[in-house]
Amino acid sequence: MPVYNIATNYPLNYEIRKATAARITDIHCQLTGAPPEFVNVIFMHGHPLKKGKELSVICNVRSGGNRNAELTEDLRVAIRNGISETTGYLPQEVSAHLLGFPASWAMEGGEILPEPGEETAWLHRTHSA
Amino acid sequence: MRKALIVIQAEQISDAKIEHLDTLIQKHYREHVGSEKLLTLWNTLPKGQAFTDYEDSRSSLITMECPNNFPQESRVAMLTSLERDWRTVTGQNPHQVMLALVEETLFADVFNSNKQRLSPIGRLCLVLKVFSSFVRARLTGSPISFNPNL
Repeated sequence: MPVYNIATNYPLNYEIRKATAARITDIHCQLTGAPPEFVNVIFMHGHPLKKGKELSVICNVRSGGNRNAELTEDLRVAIRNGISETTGYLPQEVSAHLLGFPASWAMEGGEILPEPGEETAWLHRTHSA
Repeated sequence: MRKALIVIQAEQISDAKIEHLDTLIQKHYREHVGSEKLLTLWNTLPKGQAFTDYEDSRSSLITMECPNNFPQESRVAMLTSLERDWRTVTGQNPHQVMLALVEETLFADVFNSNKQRLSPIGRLCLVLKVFSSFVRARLTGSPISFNPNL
């Protein structure tokens, strides 16, 4: 986690998908301080979206810890704009929606995920196991 | 009926292993969560459609629904048991398996947000895709599995 789930009407080519995933990873890590190995981005196409939208991203992110409503909204807007730049879609053609999950509800690396901001010890522990 | 949304990468896990994993999910769910039926939906992503840590992904993402106010101790037991068995079957490393046991209110938000972003035609396409996969699964006795591209 996070998992960024992207749906588009039309397929994006591989280079654009890879560049978009990289941009999302950069933005997510810069704004939240999360490590990039947490960031998953998946793409699906052939999804007829609501009128006026060419791409929709829904993201499941860890909530709590050092994340407040302002940071979450900043992240949502930055993700939408970053995707717009890599795909060429206008910002208003991209919808971005974030859903917050308690970290304690998920497991990765064989351990319950750390609270946002407490990743360092978790990473050290799970990588040295 | 509770639901589980599972995302795996194409050509990474054989059909036989998917059937085995499906059985394990149901088993652990009954043991740790409850006797309510769990509908598992397997999304198999074609190559090049998933990325983790900047690279083509080799990760599996398992998101399951549970009742609200579910005890954390039971959640950890469920995730720990399933994670261990999953990796035994697939041979994936611990960082390639992400599991979540999500309470029903938030799970409904996730499930519904995937439908709500679609146009009416898109929703119909999604329903038809899932329904045809359901029929195929019933006929073959295999888990409900589909390519999420519509």
